[in-house]
Amino acid sequence: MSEAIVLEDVHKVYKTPAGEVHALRGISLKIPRAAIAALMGPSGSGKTTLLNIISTLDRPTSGRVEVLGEDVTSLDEKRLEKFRLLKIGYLFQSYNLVPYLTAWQNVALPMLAAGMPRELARVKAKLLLELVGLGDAVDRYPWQLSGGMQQRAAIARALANSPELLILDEPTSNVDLDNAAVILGIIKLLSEVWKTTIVMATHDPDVAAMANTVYTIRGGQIIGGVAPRREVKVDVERAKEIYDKISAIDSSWR
Amino acid sequence: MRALPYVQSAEPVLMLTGVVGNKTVTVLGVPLSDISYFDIDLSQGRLPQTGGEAVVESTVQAQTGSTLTIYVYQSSISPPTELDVRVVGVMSNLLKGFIGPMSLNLVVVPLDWLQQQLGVGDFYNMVFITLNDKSLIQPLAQELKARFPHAEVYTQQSALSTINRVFNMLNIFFLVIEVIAFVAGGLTTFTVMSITVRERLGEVALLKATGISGRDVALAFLLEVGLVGLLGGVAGGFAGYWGAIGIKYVLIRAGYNFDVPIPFIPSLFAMGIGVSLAVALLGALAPIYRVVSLRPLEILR
Repeated sequence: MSEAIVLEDVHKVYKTPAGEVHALRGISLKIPRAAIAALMGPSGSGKTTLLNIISTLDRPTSGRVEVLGEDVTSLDEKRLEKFRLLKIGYLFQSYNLVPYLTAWQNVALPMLAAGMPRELARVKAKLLLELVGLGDAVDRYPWQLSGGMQQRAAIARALANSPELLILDEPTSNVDLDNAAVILGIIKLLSEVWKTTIVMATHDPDVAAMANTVYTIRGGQIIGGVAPRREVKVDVERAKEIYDKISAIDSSWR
Repeated sequence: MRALPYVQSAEPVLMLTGVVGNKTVTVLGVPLSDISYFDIDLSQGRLPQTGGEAVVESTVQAQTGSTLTIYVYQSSISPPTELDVRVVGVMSNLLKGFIGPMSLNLVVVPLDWLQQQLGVGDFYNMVFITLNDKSLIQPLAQELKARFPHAEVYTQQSALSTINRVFNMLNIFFLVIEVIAFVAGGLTTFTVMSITVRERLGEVALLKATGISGRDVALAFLLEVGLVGLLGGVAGGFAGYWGAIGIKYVLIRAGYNFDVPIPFIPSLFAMGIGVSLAVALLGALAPIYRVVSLRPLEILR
C-alpha cells in the first residue's frame, strides 16, 4: 500500500510575545492510503497543529511534508488552495456551515468553486447528504438542524469534491451518542468503500479505537502508535450504491 | 430721455408693496401702452384695458372676475391705502417659483389709475429703458449713476450676472452636499463592511480552508455589497423623488409659494444608482481585501 502522508522531522515553532513555542518537535510518520489514523493527546499537545500541517492550512518551520504524493512545503499559496479544494476535505470543530445557505447549498459550495456544473453539484450534494443520513434535510438551513446533524452535513461538505484525504478535528466532540455512532459509521464507510485516507484528532478513545493506527502526541512529539481494538458495523452495500452514483457524476464532468 | 436718438423706449413704472389677505404682493403700475409686455405670460382672461382692472400672478391665487382688496403701502410710516381691483387676467408665475417664498406675487394695474388712487400725481419710482445699441448700455448706466447718485441702476447684464451668481452659489451648495453625502456614504459602507466581515471571519476562514480562493470569497462579498448598493440606490432615488414632492406639498400647505417642478429624470435616477453602487463597492474594498488576504489559520487562531 502506497503512502498518503509522509512527514519527516517536522518542526513547528510559533513566535509569541512571551517567546517561542515549540508546538511540534521532529515528527516523522507515514500513513498509508485508505487508512484511518487517529491523533490522541491532551490539549496543547500539538494534535491540531499537526492536522493543520497535514491539511496544508499551515506550514512547518522545518521538515518535509508529502501529502498524496505532493511535496506541499514547496507549493505556493494559490496552488495550495487548489490542492486543498480538490484533494482534501476538512471538518472543523466549529465554524462548519455557512448560516444563510441550505444544507445542499453548503455541500455544493466547494463543488461550484471547483467548476462543477450547478445541476450536477445539486444532485451530488443531495447524494452526499443521503450518505450521512440527511436525505430528508437537504433544504434545511443550519439553524434548523441539530448539532449532530450540522456535523454530519459538514462531513458531507468535506466530501464534496471526493477528496482522497479527509481531515477530521474532533469529529464527535459536540454531538450526542447517537450522532457520534452515525459519524463513526460514515468514517468507516469512507475508508472501506471510498478508499479515503482519514486523519482525525480526538480525545475520545472509542473514536480512536476504530483507527488502523493511533498516534499519541505529547509535548509536540509522537510517543507511541497502537493498533485498533474496535470494529464498527456499517451498511456497506448502501454506501457502495451511493459511491457508484457519485463516481458517475465525477467522471461525467472532470 | 425718450428724445435721445439711441433710446428706443423709456417707460415709467410705479412699484409698491401691498397686502392681500395675509399675502404680501407687489403692485406694479404700468402705462396701458406697455401693459402688453405681460401678454406672453397670460394664462387666463385678458390684460387690463382701463383703470380698476388688474392682471395678477397665479401665486396670488385670485380668480378671473373676482375683486381684490389691496392695502398698498407708500412708506413704512404712513397707513396703507385701500384699493379695490377687478381681476381680469391671471399670469403664470414669472419666476416659476424658483426662489420659492420670495415670489413677487405681482398685481399689474394701469399706471395713471394707480397714481390717481394714491394721489401721487405723476410720481413713478422706476424707469425701464430700452436702447437701440447695446454697446451704449454701460455708458448710459454710468451717466445715469453720475446724474442720479441716489438711484439704483440695473443693466440686463448686471441682472443676469446676479442670477448667475445665485446659480453658481446654488451649484456650489449642492456640490458640497454631494461631496458630504459621498464621503459619509463611503465611510458608512467602510465601517459597516469592516464590522460585517469581522463578524463573518469564521465563514471566510471556512471557505478559504475548504480551498475556495480569496478572489472568489472577495467576489462573493463584493456581489453582496453590490446588491445592497444597488437596492440602496433604487430606494434612495425613489425616497428622494417622493421626499421632494412631499416637502413641496408641506411647504405649499404651510403657505410658502414653492411651485417648483419636480420631474422624474431617468438618466439622473440611473446616475444616482450608479453612484450608490460605486460608493458601496469602493467603501467595501479595503475591509474585504484585508480579511481575504489572511490565511485561514490566522483568522481561526
